[in-house]
Amino acid sequence: MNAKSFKKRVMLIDDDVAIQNIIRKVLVNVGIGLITAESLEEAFKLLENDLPHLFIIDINLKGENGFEFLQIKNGNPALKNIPSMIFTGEDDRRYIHMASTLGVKDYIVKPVNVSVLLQKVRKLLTSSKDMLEFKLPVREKVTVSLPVHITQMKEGRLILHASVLFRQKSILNIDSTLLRELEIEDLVYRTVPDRSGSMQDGKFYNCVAINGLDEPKRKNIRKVTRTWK
Amino acid sequence: MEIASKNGKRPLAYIMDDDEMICRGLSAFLNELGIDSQFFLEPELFLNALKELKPRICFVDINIKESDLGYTIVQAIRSQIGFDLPLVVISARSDSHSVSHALELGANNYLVKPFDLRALESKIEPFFDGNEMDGNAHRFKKVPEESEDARISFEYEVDSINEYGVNLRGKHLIGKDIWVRVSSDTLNKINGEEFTGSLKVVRSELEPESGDFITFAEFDAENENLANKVRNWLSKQINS
Repeated sequence: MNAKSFKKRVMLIDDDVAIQNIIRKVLVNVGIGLITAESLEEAFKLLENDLPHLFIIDINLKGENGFEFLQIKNGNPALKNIPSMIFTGEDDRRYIHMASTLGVKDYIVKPVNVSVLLQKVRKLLTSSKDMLEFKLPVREKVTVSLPVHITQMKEGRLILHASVLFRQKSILNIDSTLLRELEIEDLVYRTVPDRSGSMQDGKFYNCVAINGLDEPKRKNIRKVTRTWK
Repeated sequence: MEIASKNGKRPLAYIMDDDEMICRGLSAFLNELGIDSQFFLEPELFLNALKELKPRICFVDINIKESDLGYTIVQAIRSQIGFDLPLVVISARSDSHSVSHALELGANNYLVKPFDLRALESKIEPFFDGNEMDGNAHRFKKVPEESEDARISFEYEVDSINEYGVNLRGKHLIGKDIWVRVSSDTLNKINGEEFTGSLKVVRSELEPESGDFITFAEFDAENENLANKVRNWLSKQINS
């Protein structure tokens, strides 16, 4: 899959607005989304509806600290696998050790060159194996629809030129102005082997039998198709 | 005597040939041309039937029961029924004598065995007006470009959902890079309202053990709001 085109989001928990602005500028420039929170309370409120792919956390917040956040995060099944990095002015070894025991992936001491920060953020975003996937307990029946061209037609048959090679004897619903005009849009359309499978312009030809045509409808198809080249 | 498919509204043809294979083959071709047919293996039955109901056209084999009985039948038709019934003789002989003799006796045209649909059509086309027989009914006609657009829908299954898209399962090979719509209760639930967006097919692979194609279709990467909803929904499912 082309995960690269999907925007990753980072949550920054830092009460310093100047830092928020710098990081926003750096990340947004390279297509990474940023969610900011100034307090743990705000962070958890935002997390109810928005799950980032990475946390950047300052240790010293007003009246609280980033380690508290990490402890709660690690106990929350929805959050515990999201990687985190510390971005702080504190370079005390005890803090670094504490961060390490709380599973922090990187510890960056301010001030730091923004390009170094960006490099580290990118590394954590790409190495993060937290792509969420859920296998449905029971396969869900759905309807898939896509554009096609009805390129040829005769009484009882039509040719679909499509990016799909339909398996034989499949029932299809076809929504088309042409079929509505011929008043045959409600009939049963079933793929048949005749001429099916050949390709042109990277698309497949599929032959479809029109079942349930009565004589007036046949006559109408003959009448209309006779005017075509 | 065999009776081919009968439909009073389509033109009817009679076929007189003692070779049932030829009768059936011709009958199938006529059917493709929008003509019903009835065939006869015995000349007597054929001539009796002609007196009962006059078909739109008839076909008579010259070489019946290893003789030239066909010529006699042509003569009988012309003397008893008249000349307004189109009559095409079928002959395995390509020599000009047998054909010209049949024409002299009153046949309108001739068909030399073996023949194909195209040859048959060209021989009988002059006897039908445009509304009666569609000489091109068997041939595909090109749909005018302005009428080509259509949308097709079919039943499929969703196996799994991840942050980038859905794994679809089904019987068709869906080509890469096409945008598809998926009507799914799960996607509606994730979206909080009916999901009407399109997904881009990234790959389709055959699962040999089931014979199904597994198609991964990606969400629109530009739709950050949806990406966010999907990630939250996934997290809730995985952790509940």
